[in-house]
Amino acid sequence: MTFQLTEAPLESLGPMVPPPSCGAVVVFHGLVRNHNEGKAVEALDYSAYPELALKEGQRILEEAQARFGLVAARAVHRIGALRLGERAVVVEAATAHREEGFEACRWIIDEIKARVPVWKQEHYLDGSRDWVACHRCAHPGHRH
Amino acid sequence: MKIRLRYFAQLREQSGLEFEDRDTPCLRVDELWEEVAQAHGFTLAPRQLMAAQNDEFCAWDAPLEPGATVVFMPPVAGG
Repeated sequence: MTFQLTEAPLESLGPMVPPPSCGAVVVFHGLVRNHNEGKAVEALDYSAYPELALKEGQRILEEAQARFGLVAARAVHRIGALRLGERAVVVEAATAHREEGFEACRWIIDEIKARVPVWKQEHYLDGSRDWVACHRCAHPGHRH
Repeated sequence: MKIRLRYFAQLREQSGLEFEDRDTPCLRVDELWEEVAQAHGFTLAPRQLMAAQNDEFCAWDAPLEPGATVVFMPPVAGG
């Protein structure tokens, strides 16, 4: 059950090996997409407050374990400069049955996106750059 | 009291600093925000920020601990 930050490409990350009680591993890959809010993205930079990101990421996995009966999980977030199509984050959720695996994987990535102190600066084709905000921030009443 | 602040993302950009050591008369985290926001001309509003003290999330009105490291965090965008 680990949450990690790395500057190394996630494409070369080997798969998590689950314990034999698991019948399913559900995997999520978060990729750098070529557009955001109508603007054409060229590349982006991820940065983190590492001490707290690691703690909060770890807590999210432990909460998922309690909520969904997760047997094992791994989440790795890449930081640094990323190009289009590259993996930014990988979440692997291993469970006895697939039902809870799908639920846990989804919940984990949703929580990572809302809670972990990682920031993304997008570089657009028009040469401008902008910091991206948590998607829930746009919703009335949502606050951190 | 002496406080170390660490800056990330927009706050790092706006202050030009990764960290700063300040001797502050403030007693609370929210008061410290007002002090540094004024000093550096930060444009983010408190309701957009999370705060951490000694590498753990803290309440906006938390008392400052002498010698603590405080981080004000802009809206996160991981994943």
